[in-house]
Amino acid sequence: MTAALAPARPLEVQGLSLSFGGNHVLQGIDMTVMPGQITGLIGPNGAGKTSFFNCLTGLYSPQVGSIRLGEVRLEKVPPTGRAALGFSRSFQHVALCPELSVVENVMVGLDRQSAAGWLDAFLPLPRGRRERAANRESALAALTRLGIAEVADESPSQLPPGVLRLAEIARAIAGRPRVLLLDEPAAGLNSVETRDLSNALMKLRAPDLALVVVEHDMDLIMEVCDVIHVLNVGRLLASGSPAQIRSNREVVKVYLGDDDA
Amino acid sequence: MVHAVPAAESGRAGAARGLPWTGMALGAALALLPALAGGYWTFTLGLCFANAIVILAVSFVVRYGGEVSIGHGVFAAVGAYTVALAERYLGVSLLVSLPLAAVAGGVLGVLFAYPSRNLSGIYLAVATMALALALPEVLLYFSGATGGYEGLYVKRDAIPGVSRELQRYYLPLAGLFAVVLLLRHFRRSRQAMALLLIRTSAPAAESFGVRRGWARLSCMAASGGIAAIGGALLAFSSSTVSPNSFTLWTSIFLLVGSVVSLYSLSLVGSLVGGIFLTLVPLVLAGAGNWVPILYGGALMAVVLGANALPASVRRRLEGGHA
Repeated sequence: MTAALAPARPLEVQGLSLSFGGNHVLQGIDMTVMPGQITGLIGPNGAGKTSFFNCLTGLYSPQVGSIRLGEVRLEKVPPTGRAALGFSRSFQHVALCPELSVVENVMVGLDRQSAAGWLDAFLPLPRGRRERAANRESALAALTRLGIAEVADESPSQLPPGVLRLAEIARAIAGRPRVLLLDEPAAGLNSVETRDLSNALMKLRAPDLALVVVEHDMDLIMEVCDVIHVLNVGRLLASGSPAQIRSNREVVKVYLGDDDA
Repeated sequence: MVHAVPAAESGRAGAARGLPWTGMALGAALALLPALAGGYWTFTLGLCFANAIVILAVSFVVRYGGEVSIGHGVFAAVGAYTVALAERYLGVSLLVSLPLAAVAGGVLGVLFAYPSRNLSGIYLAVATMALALALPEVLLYFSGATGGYEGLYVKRDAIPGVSRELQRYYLPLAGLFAVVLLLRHFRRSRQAMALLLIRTSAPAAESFGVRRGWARLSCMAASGGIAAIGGALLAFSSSTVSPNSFTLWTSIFLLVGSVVSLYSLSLVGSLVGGIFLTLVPLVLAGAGNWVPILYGGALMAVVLGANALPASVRRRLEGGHA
């Protein structure tokens, strides 16, 4: 069964700890990410947000704790295996290939669901052509959903940062993931691009998708998220709705500042 | 919504479609050449076409794997010896042994790539060099089968009734055309896109299910198979294979040919590399001690001259992206 057909399941993290040498990057993190919600993860620089992401996607192996998607334990599942379970992500620094067009970059997001073999790769056989055409249609649909279908055949090297961010998100959603992790999607964007991104993120909300956004842009986070978790020096400082987080004194003190309270 | 740079100003990315007009015109000219040129030139150009195929294999590793090989003469040798041994022991011609050669090259590519899958950069280059250094000794060790220093002959006609001279010219030319077309089709495949992404950003590719080990094995297998096809056609065109044909210098010159072709996977680019590899030493043959200096000067002139070309011309020479 493909990830796209699997029932919606919560992502549960319990007692997660990660350290590099003697440096404790994450300590005892407990968190549940529910499908159908947009979950925000915020915190000052060095709080461990990207490290937490990397633990979820399998790039880092936590020493302690568990990560479950429904009943499936993920600690020993490699990144490629988690992709097969429906994990998908974007990166803090845009990771598109400049030698591929935008739509081709998005088509890579469908690779794990593709079956065309090496003969199809080198020879113009019907199965490979059909699959390539179907993948292109799916990739174009993802670009259309985010409002950037007009740049499908452009090179990423010719496009502004806001469009690249959206293209990367399009790649992440093309394979209809169950868990979507967006790492600072608004980094480097101007206010207009951030507004476009905010609209795009709200369009992604779906009953079968657990969406986690790491972000420093508080306006964006407060606008799009249902639940927010705050990390500080590797520990979970607070969890709650945007209103609860905004009024949390500890969060205001270490991260938001008085002006945002 | 933020808008993209207008299409007219931007470089269109993505896979090229079919052979461009320049390629087709060049192909037509090459197809007619034997009617105008003598036997020396058809023989030399046949070798040039076969070398161009092996150069494509080296460029494939650079383009899709992001790595440099100083040992591709070994994969060419596998193809060449497969043809010679198949003729000697099975009595079959090139048309039968060519697919076997491609498979043998691909298998060797996997056998080399698996233990070296975690090497990259200079370490992988040195590993390929070790492969090239070991090859002549291995061939001599099995001299009972490989013919030792003298090597083996490839005498059997591939197409009965057609003069040997024309076969030596047209079969490598057809092989070059076929490999270029296969590579153009490959560029549009999901495998090619995955290889290009993992070369640019391995963590991004892995998060979409593309494995690094798969990428390395695939890249070396495909490249090894292509190089073996080139080697098989080289053996057929030159009618002989011997350890002297596949030394470390052979591999180094193949890499030089790939650099001169700007790592192109196009017909024009690979021919530029093949011509440089095959014809420049012949042209400079009468220069005595000046040969290395003139060869080096010619190499610098080609590389620096190519870099000075306008970006659009370079892109065309490189066969578009990847």
